[in-house]
Amino acid sequence: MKVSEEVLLENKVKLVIPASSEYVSLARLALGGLIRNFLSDEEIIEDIKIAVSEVCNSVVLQAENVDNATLDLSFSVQEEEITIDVGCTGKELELAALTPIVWSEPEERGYGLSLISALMDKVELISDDGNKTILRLRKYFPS
Amino acid sequence: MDLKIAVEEKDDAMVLRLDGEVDVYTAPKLKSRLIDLVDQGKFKIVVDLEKVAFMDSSGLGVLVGGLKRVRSHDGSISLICSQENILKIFRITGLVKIFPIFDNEGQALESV
Repeated sequence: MKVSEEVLLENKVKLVIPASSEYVSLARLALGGLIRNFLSDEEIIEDIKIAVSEVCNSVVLQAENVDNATLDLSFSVQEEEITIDVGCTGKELELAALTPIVWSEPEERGYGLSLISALMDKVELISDDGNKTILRLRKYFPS
Repeated sequence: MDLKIAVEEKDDAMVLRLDGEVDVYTAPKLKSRLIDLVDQGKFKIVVDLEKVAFMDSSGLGVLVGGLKRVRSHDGSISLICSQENILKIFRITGLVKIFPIFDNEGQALESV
């Protein structure tokens, strides 16, 4: 693990982008660039990018027909962990959209939550000060 | 990053070589190519994921959809993939049991 020479109490980056599919790669790019300042383990970085991508996908699909909806991301890197908050302005998030489908044969959707749960250490639904629903993902860095 | 898809006919099968990222934005392009192949009567398909830099569940869903389409015509889809970061999402979702996955084209072509 690579940690900056200074002890980092908090390093927070906020990103607000249109809730549209073509911008999800920008969220991954920003996230990857930020984490690489603190962590050199590419496997963990890829895991976090997949999980965040899954949440963004869900937001984008839920906000599909909502004018001016934005994908609101906040990345907070601390010495041993990263916390990622994902919210949406313009559309209240519904966790049900992420719920995996119980299938007897392979289905075309419903894999998102399985990936998020497997790749992140903690996943929780919270409300911000304005009672907006936010999905919070947390990953602990290896010591 | 965009997704480039090259299609080549080989040994009675169609090989799709993907280059780039397969996500919520680019997956519809892959879906469209798979549907085109099925519409053309091509039911033996190999998808080469060796140059895929990133893939999430959007890509998995499209591959599963393609598999269902070719299976309804007694066809199959095999994958070429040796990248651990891509294989991981197939393992987590259990799709390693659904898709034959090989690390080289020869074996993948033999399997379809």
